[in-house]
Amino acid sequence: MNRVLIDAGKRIRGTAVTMRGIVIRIRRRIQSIPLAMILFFLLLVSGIVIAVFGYYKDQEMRIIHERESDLAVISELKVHQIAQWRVERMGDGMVIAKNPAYARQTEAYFEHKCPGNELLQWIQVMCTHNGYQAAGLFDAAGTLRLSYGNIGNNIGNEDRALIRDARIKREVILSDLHLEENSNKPVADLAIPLMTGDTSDVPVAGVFLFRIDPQRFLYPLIQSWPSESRSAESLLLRREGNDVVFLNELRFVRNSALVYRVSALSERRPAAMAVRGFEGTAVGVDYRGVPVLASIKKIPDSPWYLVTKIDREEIDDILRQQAWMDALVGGLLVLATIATVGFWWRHQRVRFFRTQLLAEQERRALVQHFEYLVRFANDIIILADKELRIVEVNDKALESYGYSRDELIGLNIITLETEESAEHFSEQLRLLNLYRGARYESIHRKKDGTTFSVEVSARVIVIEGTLFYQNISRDTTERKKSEAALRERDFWIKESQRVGHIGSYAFDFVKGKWTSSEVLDEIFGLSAEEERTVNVWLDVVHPEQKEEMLRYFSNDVIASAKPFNREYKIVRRNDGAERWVWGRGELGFDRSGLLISMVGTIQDITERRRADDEIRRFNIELEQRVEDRTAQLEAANRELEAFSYSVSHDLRAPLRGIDGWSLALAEDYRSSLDEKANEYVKRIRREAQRMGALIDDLLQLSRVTRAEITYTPVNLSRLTRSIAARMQELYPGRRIQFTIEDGLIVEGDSQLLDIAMTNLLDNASKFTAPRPEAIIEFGKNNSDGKTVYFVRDNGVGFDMQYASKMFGAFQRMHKISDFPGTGIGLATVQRIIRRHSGEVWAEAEVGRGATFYFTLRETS
Amino acid sequence: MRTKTILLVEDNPSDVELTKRAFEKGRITNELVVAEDGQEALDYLFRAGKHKDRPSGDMPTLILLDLKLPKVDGLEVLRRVRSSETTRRLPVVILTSSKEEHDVATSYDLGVNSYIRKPVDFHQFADAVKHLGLYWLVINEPPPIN
Repeated sequence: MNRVLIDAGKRIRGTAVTMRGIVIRIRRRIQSIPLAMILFFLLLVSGIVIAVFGYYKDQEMRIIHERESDLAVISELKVHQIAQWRVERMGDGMVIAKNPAYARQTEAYFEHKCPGNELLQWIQVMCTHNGYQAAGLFDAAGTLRLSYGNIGNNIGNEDRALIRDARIKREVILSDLHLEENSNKPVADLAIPLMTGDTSDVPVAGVFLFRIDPQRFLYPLIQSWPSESRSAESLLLRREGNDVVFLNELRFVRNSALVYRVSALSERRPAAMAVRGFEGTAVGVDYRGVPVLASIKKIPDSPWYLVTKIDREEIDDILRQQAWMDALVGGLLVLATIATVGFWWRHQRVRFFRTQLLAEQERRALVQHFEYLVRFANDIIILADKELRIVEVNDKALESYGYSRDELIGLNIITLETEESAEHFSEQLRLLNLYRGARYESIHRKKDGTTFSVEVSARVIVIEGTLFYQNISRDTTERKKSEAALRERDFWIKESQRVGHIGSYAFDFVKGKWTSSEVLDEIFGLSAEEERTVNVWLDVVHPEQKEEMLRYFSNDVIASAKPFNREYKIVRRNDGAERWVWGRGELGFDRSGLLISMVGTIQDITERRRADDEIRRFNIELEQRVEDRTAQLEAANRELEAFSYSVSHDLRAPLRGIDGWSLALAEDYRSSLDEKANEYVKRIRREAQRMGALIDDLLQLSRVTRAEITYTPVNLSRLTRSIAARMQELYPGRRIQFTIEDGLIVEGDSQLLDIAMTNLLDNASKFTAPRPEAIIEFGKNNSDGKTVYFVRDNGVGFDMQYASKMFGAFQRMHKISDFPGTGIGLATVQRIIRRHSGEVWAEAEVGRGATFYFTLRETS
Repeated sequence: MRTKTILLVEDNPSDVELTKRAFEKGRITNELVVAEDGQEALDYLFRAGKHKDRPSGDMPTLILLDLKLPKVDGLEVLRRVRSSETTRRLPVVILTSSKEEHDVATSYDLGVNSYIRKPVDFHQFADAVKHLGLYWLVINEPPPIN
């Protein structure tokens, strides 16, 4: 980046390049390039030339081969036709020779037994139809007896020898081509002996001689050519000693048949090669001394050879044409290549221009951009020469140091250092020169003397051969401040995690990994290097809970998208200690609702769990103790019950005895007992009965203490009214006025409330005895939001001084003689009220009546 | 006419005497058989032990039963009486000192005919016994003997 900045700056200063200049420079660059292009082009052209040449060579071979096979085929055909022609001629002869009719007819004619006109007629037919030029019939002496056509004058010695041969050998003989006597035209003869039988003892009656004119059939056959050719020719040859005789008319030599000869030893003449026994295709020089391509063949069952040939010149003509053609195609290809390459090259050039132009424009824009960047960069940029004198600065530098540009340019950069930081400057400069770049922190001084911390990135750069130092400094005051704040916050987080034994983690579901805080690592006993995967967490989980936690994590957290919140046991990784942790985690989702993260805390709650366990243990102990106590209490209750039972049964029995027998004494011995004794008996009985009442009251007191409470709605008004009625019965003759408030319904045990109200009303009745009219009131009022019930009487009252003692058992306020009673009634009332979670108290004044108040458990 | 026997089950001799006296005072002269414990009462009723020679069909007209008894207690006696074919219809009156709710309830559950708590005052006791005898022996139509 820095280098780019400076490069850009350099360009700004050093160039005054116009757009036109750029284009010219680019063009020069392009012209240096085409050498490679030319090479490539030449390569392409030579490739084409080689290909075309190869093609031509192939064509040449093909054409020559074609011609050769043409020649071979033509020659084969002609050989076959010539042989066929010979066979036909021999066949003509055999038909006549083997037919004895001709012999007998001839004999008859010779012996003049018949005229010769019949035979002549037949010879004529034969000549006309089978294409013989002339014919003659010779007798055994060799004299011509019958003739057709011009033959008589044209019989030479050679012909006579033939006739003789035929007669002696008794065979049909086809003569070779020879020149006719007199006319000197080439002819061939067919000599046919005429015999009446096959055996040798049968004399030859005569010999037919049929003369063949080769011009009529044989020569045209030889000369004919299936295609047009200006040099093609077939030659029929025969060897005569060391010569080769040309049997037919040559194409290029007149009257050459049977006349023209060449030496059989001649090396390169196809004709000579033929008679020397060569068969096949050959290249040679023909009779004209012209190079030819020839096909040579022997004609079977004859002394003849056939040479078919064509001038090399004619083939070369074709090849030349082909060559021209190929050269034309090659030339066109090269032209096309030139055109293509040229077009491509032009296209490339246009494109190159365009990109170059664009790049240059872009570069200039960048240069502009960089200028702004450097100038307005947020970092201080200073360029100093090798004497450390400042040569260029940006705006930020001016702003930061408080100097003007003129002041700063030329200043030694060490001026910007503080006294302390200047001490390190030479060392930093050394490193900078050594490594061509350095990065260090320092403290810089402004013009006004204030300092600020900086981070300097220095670099040695070379601009057009000159060494410069380029310093980019950043004011790190703010950063250092925020770093300190961050460090502090980090410290607090770490401290609080450490103190609270709370570690934190972040789980990345995409990567399947999590990161952890230091405290979490301590809790789990994980080393820093260990990779944090789900399996590692599961490994840390206590084996007993592994399955459960995996299920919880996958079903209750991930599948249900609910926060992680579980206490579980772990086995600390490093020391194997069992610890309890409380894991919490919140799930994070991306915009499409996909689960991506879980961030949360893990707290070591081992101590708390331990305390909880302790509490649980205490609770269990306590419960056990309560149970034990309850059992003891129940046992005590049972004992008490048994005791009460005994008391009620066994204590009363003797009392009854005392009373009974005292009465019996009084009744049975009335006369013997005096007044005083009777009085004593009465006293005994009264005491016994009081004892009985005491026992009954005590039993009741104990029963109300023990009895199970059954809460039901109780109509206290109605209950009190029925008790009042009982009181009226109990104290007949007394005037007691009960005033009972209606509709007082409470929650309580009806039996116990009956006992309490009975005691209260009985008390009220008792202590109102001295009044001519007793007024007893029952009702309720409200005090502090609580319902308070009361029983008020207009009785004798009591001294409030003893009010506190009043509710104790056996506590009496009055003399028995004044008001009988056991002193247990109010104790019983208090028990009952307390068992109803209420309170009972009294207000009284001597002589002015008493009021007993009580409250009951209030149902909401 | 068969005699109307009263079976008194009571262990306290004083109470036995007082009961007898109460009957006398009430002019009730029926034969009073006393069983001093529960077992003896059962022996008497089911002709076992020292009562095994007692003629059959001779059943008391009324049983006065105390609850707190040696050997077999009163409630058990009542249970046996009520569960036997021959005795289940006999009028049984509990005569006891106990006023425990439990005892009263259980006695009625077992089919007692009356429950009387003996008062300390002999006048009251004699009164109760007089009325008792009058009611069960005179007014009340006894169950048929089977």
